[in-house]
This record gives sequence, C-alpha cells and structure tokens, in this order.
Amino acid sequence: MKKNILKTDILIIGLGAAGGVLFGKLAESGKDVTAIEAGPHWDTDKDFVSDEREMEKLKWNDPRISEGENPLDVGGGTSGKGVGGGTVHYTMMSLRLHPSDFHIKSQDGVGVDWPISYEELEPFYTEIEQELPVSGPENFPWVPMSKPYPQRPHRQSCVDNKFKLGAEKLGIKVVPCPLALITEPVTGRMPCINRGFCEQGCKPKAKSSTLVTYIPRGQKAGGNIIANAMAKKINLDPAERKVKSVTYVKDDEEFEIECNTLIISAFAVETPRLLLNNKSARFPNGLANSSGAVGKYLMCHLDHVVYAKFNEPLRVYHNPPVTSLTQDFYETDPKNDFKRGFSIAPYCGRPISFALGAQAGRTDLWGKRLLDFMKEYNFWLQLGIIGEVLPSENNRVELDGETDKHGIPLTKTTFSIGDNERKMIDTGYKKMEEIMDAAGATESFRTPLLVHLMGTTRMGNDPKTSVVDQNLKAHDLDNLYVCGASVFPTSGASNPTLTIEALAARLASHLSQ
Amino acid sequence: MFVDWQLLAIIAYTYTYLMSYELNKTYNSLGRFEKWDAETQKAVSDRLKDETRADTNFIFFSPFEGEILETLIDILIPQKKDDNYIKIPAVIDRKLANGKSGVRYGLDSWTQEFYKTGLAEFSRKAKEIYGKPLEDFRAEQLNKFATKFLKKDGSDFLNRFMRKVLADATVIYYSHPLSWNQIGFPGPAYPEGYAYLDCGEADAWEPKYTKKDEKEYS
Repeated sequence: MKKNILKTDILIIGLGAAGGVLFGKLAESGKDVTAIEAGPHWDTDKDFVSDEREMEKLKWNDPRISEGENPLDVGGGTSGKGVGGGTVHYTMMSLRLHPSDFHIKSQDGVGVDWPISYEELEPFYTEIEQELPVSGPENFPWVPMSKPYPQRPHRQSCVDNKFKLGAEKLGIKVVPCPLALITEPVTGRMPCINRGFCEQGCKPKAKSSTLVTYIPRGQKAGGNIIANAMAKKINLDPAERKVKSVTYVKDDEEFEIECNTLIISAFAVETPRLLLNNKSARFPNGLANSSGAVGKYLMCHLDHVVYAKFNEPLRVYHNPPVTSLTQDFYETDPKNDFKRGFSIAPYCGRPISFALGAQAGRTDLWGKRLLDFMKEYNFWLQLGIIGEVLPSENNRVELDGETDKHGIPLTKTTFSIGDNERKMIDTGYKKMEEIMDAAGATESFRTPLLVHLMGTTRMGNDPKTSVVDQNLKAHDLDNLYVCGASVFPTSGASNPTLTIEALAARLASHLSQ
Repeated sequence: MFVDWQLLAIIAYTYTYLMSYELNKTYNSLGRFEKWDAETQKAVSDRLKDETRADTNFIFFSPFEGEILETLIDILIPQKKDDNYIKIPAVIDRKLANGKSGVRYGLDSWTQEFYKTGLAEFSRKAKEIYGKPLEDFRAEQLNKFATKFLKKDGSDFLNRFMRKVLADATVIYYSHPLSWNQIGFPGPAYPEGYAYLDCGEADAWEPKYTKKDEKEYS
C-alpha cells in the first residue's frame, strides 16, 4: 500500500546532544523542522527510575560487533537511544576543548588540525553554557572564556575534598567541574538534590539534557518529533547531487519523508552506518564517501582509573558522578615521552558500575573476595583520566555481513590504542597514584577503561581526506549536513558533549542565516 | 638496637583496629521504601517478587544447562540458599530468551550461543580433568576447577566465558536491596535526595558506620 509521503524543510536524524540543540534552535528560528529518533520519547516522571539496572534501557543495546586489540564497548555508556540521546545519562561534565586542540598537527606534529579555531567556536560554547545553563566555578583557569558560567558550581563532596587535598599538596590546581546541571531553580526544573542517579536519567530535571532543554523549546516552536523510528535509506535526486528524502521504519512499516536539507546527527556509529549502507552509482562506497574516510579515524578517550581506599567512609553514593577536576596535565609537556595530555577527575559510581569497573582491573574479585571488597564500597574513591586518543585510519566502523531485524547491516568496530596512548596511560596512572597517596589513601589498584566515541565522518578543508567541510556540509552533496562527535578530527582531552552542542549551535546559526 | 616486635605488632594492630569502621549490621535499605517514588517502588518490588522466591524454570537453557550455570554462579557469588536467594541464573535465562542484543566482542559468538558453548565447554573440561561428570563434584573441587579459569593471565575461551558470567551475575546481584544492605548503599533517594555531602556528614536515615572504638559514627 502506497503511503502518504511526509514533507519537511529540515530533517534531522538522531535527537541527542547535536540533534537536540539543532532541533530547538532551528524550530525557534522559524524553520519547518522534523526529527526522527530511533528510540522512545522519554517522560522523566514515568520512565525514569532510581535504579542502575532498570535504566540500562537508556543505552543503545541493539546488536553491534566490536573487534581490535582493545575492542570498545560501542553500546552501553558511550551511546544513547531515545529522545535526548546520551545527554539523558551522561555525567554532565561540560568542558570546552582547549585552543591548542584545534591545531595539534601544526603545534605538536600529531593528528590533524581542525578547519576551525577555538575563537570561531567560542561564542557558541558561551551560548550553550548560558542556555543549558551550565553551573561552574567563578574562574576556570585552563581556557579563555568570554563570559563566566551562569550558575554557581555544585557543592563539593567528601570525595572532592580528598582529591583536592592530595592534588594541592602536589601543587596541582583543582576546581569544581562545570556541569550541565542546575544548582539554582530554572522555570519548570528543580535544582540538583544529590539523588545520585544522574547516569540513570534525572527525575527532577536538574540535569540539562537536551530532553528537558532544547527539545521542548523546539516542540513549542512547532518542531515535529517522530520517535521509535529507524532511518533506513537516504534517497537522492536523479543527478545524485542532493538528498531528496529519507525512508524510515516505525512499527515494522516503512515511511518516506521528503526534505530540503538533511542533517544526520546519529553519533559515531549509526552515522557512518547509514552513509555506508546507502550506495549508488555516484557513491559506490557509500554516501558522501568519495574520500573513503566515512567510518575511519574512530577515536575514544582513555578513561583509566585508579581505585583508592580511604580509612573513613566517603559515601560515594551522595554525589553526582563527577564534581571536580584538574586540567593541569592537558597540554603537551616536553618532559613527557608522549604528545598531548589528559584531564583528571574523581568519579563516584553506583554499586553496579563500581563493581564492574573494579572487576575490569582485578581478576580476583569473585566469590567471597568480591563480597568482602564490595562491603568497602563507601571507602573507595575512583580517580580517572580523560586522555586524548590520536586519530588512526585503522580504527574504524564498517558494515558487517549480518543484518538486523530491519535488514540493515550491523556495524563492526575495530579499535586498538597506539604507542602515544600507552605512554600517556602509564604517566596518568602514576600521577593519579601520587595524588591519592598524598590524600592519605591506604591502598590502590588500576583499572583500564575506554570511553566516548568520536570521529568516523571527520570535518576538514580537503575533500580527499575528510567527509564534511568547516560548515559541516558533506563535501559530496549540496544539502547533506553531519553534526555530532562523528565530525571531530581529533578527540582532545575534554568530555565531548559541550563541543558537540557548540558545533550544533554553530550549524543552526549557519542554516538560519 | 633492640626491637620489641610484639609491642610493635600490638601497636600496628591497635592502629588498624581503631581506624576501621563497621557498617551497622541491621541496616535495611528497604526501610525507606515508602519514601521512594512510585515508579521506583514498582521496579524494586517487581524485582524482589520475580527474582527471589520465584521458581526457577528455564526458558532459554535446558534444565541441565541451568543446573551447571547455577553451580557456577554459586561459586562466583556465594549466597545462602534461603528465601532471599537471588535467582541469578533465571534472570540471565529470561534476558537471553528475549533475543540478540548488545555488543559481540572479537571472535566470540553472540551472547546466547556464547553461553551455550561456554556451559558445554565448562562441563566437558571438568570431566576431562577429573574423569567424572560435573554433578558428582564436591563443592571444593568445583571451586578449585573454577579458580583455574579465573586466574590472572587467563584469556582463553573458558576464562572469557567465566568473566562474562561473572559480570552478568554481578549486575543482577548488586541490583537487589539485600546486597545494598551488605555494602551500605541506601538505593533510591528520590524525592528526598541527600542533604549532606562532606566527609563525616550523613542524614540520620543513611547507613551508619561505627568506628570500632567508638559508639557510633554517622
């Protein structure tokens, strides 16, 4: 049966950090916007529960394949499925990249330069920080900011105080972490009450996810959301210069929606998956892939953790996951045997993530020893790095021969860390152990973790080596844009969400002109 | 120089003793159940109903596979077999019966097949080494056998399988209020939240730690 073909001016695929900001801003600028999102439209009251296991539903749990020397958890905590995407369960750390991150090739001879500078993105960082709003310290010493954070920082906890004590003994600066979390009331939203289940969806709406900020704004301005809809096919005009429409699956039925402009903001795995799976005469290797770069240069962050035990209860369940940090080790240091650097922050996990993290570092945590270790749950602090991972062509997302229930090929991800990363991990571990020793920890152990996904449709000036240009338009097509972590040419050593949102604000501004 | 080792040992022991805290043994995270929001109450009470006193009837696994899995999980996470026993194998069984999901790593198969092959291999290897079927093992033999594959440098198939079972079992076990009581985790705290954050601070209803030489430490 032939269905009515829907029409919209701007179509967005994926309603997470990037898609959410684009949806809100474009709808408010008067554009006719429709967004399709693979997962459900969450209701913070009815759907969110204060429980780790129950809230696994916020993550991308559809089948994916992961290979390489350091296979990544390509679903789980690095992903999101549902309106708001990963912003519904992320740690809310709202960090800017540093000015140096935009030209590491010129400065340090590694990676690539971004086609834009920090100065070009700065007004959009500011815009997002003011609008979410972000709560943070009076002075954030590591990056230039044209405006201070609009809300006071989150109250510091026992864990923050231990970290600060150790760090300051060693001359390391520590500040409260800028967070996409309100510490003072905002219309319709309650400030943080330290419920602690931030990574399980925030019931009081204190967390400034796109679900409770930009997305409702977009709906109020007339934007249309189609939830539980999986984009399957991108249809081109006869000359194959422009996207004509998108075919998506909802309730096992296929629908088609026409658009003048298409923005894909489906993150670092689904974005290349969709492009690679759409082949045509002009694009035999996948849409917008004349460079062959679609799916390549996948990056994550080093998230290696030191578990440190203290003599008194820290009550780690009191806190949002991260509320303080240092970026003193962010820049390339000639004394190191590696380039670039890392942030360090204490992390408070709920019991399940705490146990799984410890088991990743210690093979003896089973049986009675596991139960005994967990009895000390409240005495352990987790200190972690967010370390830069350099782009490598071999780290990639490809299509597998196996397909999902919609007939779309599954993705196969390959990832291995390199020499620069190995050296950085070693230094990061040692630095964290020094801090914990100085803070009075009585014992510690190491856990190797990797987090976040970036790259796979990187931005650049050269159409031969990048997928999108500096305005995030595909080099190969006139009306296709890509936005999100997938356009990052390099990873930096800051959590990616704020940069994703700033890039989205910049793209929305470009498209509204 | 004369060193009185005995005296040093007493001082060291006393120091450690004084510095250690003990969690109130009667702490019950469900004591605040009525304070929780309705959605969370439902999720936790459904879990208690479905995953503790319930009968174990396997959907995905055969009865024999289920038995091996239960044996293995009882080693990985020892529990008293009373009314509060958390039926971890049954929870895994139901999840696997729901079909393919999650990440498939490296050359391993999807979780469903991985479990089936893993259980068969566990059973086969036990018979190969000890010359008798798994069901004839004594507890300590089983422990010894399982330990072999959970050793530090192990990365062969059985080791990877055991680590997967351990991770899955850990998620289920620490999603139950009984385990929260053991570790001093109050579980859900909404709409109340936590008023205190600094070291040594806590609300009166939070789990209490007693410094071993003192009466009580909040």
